[in-house]
Amino acid sequence: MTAQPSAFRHLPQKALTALVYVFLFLPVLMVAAMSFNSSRYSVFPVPGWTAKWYRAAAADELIVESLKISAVLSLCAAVIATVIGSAAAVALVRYRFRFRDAIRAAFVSPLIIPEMILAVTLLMLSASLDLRGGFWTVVAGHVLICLPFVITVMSARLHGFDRSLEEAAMDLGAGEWRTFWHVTFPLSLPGVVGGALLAFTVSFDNFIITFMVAGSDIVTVPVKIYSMIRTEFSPKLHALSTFVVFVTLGILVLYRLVLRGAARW
Amino acid sequence: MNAAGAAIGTARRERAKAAALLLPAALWLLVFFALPAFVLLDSSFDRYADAKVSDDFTFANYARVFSESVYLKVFLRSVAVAALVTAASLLLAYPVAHFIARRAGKNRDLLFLALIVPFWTSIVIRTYAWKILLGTSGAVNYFLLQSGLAEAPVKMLFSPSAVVVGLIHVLLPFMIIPLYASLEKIDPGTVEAAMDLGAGRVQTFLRITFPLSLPGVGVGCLLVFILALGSFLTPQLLGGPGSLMISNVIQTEYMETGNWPLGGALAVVFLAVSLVFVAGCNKLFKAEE
Repeated sequence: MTAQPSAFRHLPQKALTALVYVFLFLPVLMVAAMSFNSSRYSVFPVPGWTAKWYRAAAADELIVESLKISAVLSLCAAVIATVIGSAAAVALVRYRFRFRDAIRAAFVSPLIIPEMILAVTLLMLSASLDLRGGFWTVVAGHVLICLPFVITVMSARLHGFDRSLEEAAMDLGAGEWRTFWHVTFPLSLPGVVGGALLAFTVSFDNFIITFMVAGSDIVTVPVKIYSMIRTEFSPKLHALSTFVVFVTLGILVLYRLVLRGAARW
Repeated sequence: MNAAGAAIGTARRERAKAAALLLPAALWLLVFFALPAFVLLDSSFDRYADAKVSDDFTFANYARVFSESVYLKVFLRSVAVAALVTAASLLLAYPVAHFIARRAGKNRDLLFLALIVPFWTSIVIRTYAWKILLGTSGAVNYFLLQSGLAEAPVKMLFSPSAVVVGLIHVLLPFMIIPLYASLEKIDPGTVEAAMDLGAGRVQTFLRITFPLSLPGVGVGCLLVFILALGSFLTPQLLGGPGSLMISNVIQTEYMETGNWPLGGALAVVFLAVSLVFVAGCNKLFKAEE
């Protein structure tokens, strides 16, 4: 059987695939289009083009403040999740002990618990400890949902590299610490950085936990966008959203570059 | 010390190292995951009267959850929406994942990478986008009017169907990615062998490709169902009062009504439902293996 490669082969499947990609991308492209819309109202087709909503958003102190809060909060969550998650991944990959699979499953389980439940349990914890929400309770919740990503990326990296390099270092007389710092750590670094980038994105995009736990004085970007949708509509919302999509895109490109760079070792 | 003693010493040291590496993350899980779950369970037995929470033990909250038809309705609606979203996602995602994995040729990596982008894009933004698209002056209505399919702008927002469409959009990558992963692993030789032995396209698909892709089907359906069941934002932004789901009701009890014990009981019942579902799926996967 020799099939003729032709543009018309599997046409229905090709058409459906194209439609699904349009379905996945068009909505966000529409937000981007609206961010350059000269009208205050979200009408299609757009009557004219302008960049004034970007200037207005950049001049809006509350929007700038939300970007700053999100950056700091996600950085804290990503750093904590990366440090404790990478350590846990090393233990899970390199050592054998009882209940190892159960412990691994426990670390991933926050992902299959409905997020609203995680959010209310954290809300109750902070209330019963009289913390009244606050920055660190939100960070604690974000770390919980970042850990599965850090542990998965880091475990994959640890499985991926050649352990004989470490054995060679030991054979050549390097002690355990020297081997760790000069061989193990540099080799697992792409996993660490990749995990940190994903953790930052997970935290930066989180809405439910922040919304439920943070209280009114900690307004992250997603919470700000939500309140702009619900109560204080302004086309600045489209400018901020488009900016956030591009930041996420930038982080993903960085993630690809880090892990692709790693593949060469 | 003899050799055996030294070996035991090394093993003990190794175990201590593993424990030290695990400890911080395990403590985090204990303090911010396990402990709060107990606080939640405990609170669901508190009494709520005259806008005050008191510590005496009561089943009153659970009695309300199981006796008032509002809550049963919300649970049933959530399960129905989640089931519909899961089925529709599977039907849409399968041909797409199959195309990327087996027929896209050199475009495969590009198409797969393109899926990662919506996967990681903020859900608030992606859901809001549907508000623009489906609004009375949005793009969908524009095309309906231009093409003559509608005489006047159609009201699509704030309905259960808007919620279903929004959820399919948000959750589709969670279905395509695991399907792709399992379809990509199938050896093309197996499929060719079936064809060479005289199986038709349909038979090959039903007897070879589909059964081999079942792990991906299982993971995708589990993820989409659980995430749809717990969705808060999509019903909140695209749904009307008649399309609220469990998470919206729990949020209202906590943030607006202030009846935390009742909210707690709803959350505990919801958690139990989700866990039973996950456990059921796990059993199915195990049986499959």
